[in-house]
Amino acid sequence: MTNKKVLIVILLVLSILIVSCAGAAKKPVTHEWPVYVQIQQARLNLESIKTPPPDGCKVHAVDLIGSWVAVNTPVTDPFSFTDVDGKGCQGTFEVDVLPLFNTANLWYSGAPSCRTCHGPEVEVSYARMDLSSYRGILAGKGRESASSKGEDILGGGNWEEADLYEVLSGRQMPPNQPGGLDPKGPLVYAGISR
Amino acid sequence: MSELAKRITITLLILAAPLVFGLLITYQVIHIDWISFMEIQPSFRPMENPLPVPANSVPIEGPAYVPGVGNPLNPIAADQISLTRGGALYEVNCSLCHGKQGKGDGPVAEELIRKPPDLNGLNVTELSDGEIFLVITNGVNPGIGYSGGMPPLRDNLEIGDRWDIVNYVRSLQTK
Repeated sequence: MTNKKVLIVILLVLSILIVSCAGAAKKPVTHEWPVYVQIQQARLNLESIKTPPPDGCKVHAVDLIGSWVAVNTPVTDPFSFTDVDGKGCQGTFEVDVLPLFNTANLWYSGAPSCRTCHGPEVEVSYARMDLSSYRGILAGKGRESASSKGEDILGGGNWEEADLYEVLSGRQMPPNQPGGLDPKGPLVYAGISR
Repeated sequence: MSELAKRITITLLILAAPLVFGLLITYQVIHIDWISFMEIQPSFRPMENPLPVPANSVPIEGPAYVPGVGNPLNPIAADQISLTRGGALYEVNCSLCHGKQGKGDGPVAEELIRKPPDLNGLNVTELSDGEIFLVITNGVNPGIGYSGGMPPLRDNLEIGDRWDIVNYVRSLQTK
């Protein structure tokens, strides 16, 4: 190899070194994208599984709502119902009936709660209906505003003629139900035996 | 050329011929429509809906919730990592309809018959984390068509990702 060639190679190596040093001196570009290495493992939280109360009653959800509709007691007043074993039981709207409207993953696996679509802002809720509260359920469907009353969904106290009974037992609601479900709804623990 | 050189050239040519032929087929210069066994198995083509998940199957990352026992509980704390991840995932998966601040004013929203809800409104703030998680997982009324019904995102987002988005949506509500 001639001296000229050696010189060219040395110059080339030096220029590469200079360029890389200049590059290193620059501030590195930072990205806003989160660090995906630190993924937190979503562990299944089993605290949602409650142990049934010793004096609790087992009843189908549709039957329980029907028992309340028949007497239409205020929020915290007790009402009577019969559980699946024929046992006399007592429950309240607030503790036993309202959760049927406000709990997801209850009517079937992965079901939305009623209030997911029928929330308190009736202007933007499906069927202009609020199923998230006692007042909302009594106010009915097709309401103009949060302060107005709509069409009764409770059949005027006759549960089997109620619109709510029709959609629940007809398994139209909650929507997208899988086949083979009980038209009386899920079996739930509610109230206490008398 | 000597006799030896000629022989070596011919031998090399004979050896190179199958190699060149193989390369021509490999890079599809010569295109042969082979029947592959992957092609004839049940599969879905690009832009087709994915095949349904077999009944009673459990995702590789574990089940998302216990069926039928009520609202799933949020297993991920709303710390900085979760919120950053949730924000990035929200931006990609949710903001087109729900808007960057969750006000239901994303660029796609005006094209929809049923407008996406304001995530800062009472209809969403009153929901529990588990209810929001199930909305992300299963959508809202997807059966009525996608114009206004939220599509399920369970195939797009892993379980942890969905909880991160729930945490992020909650943080939007407190702003």
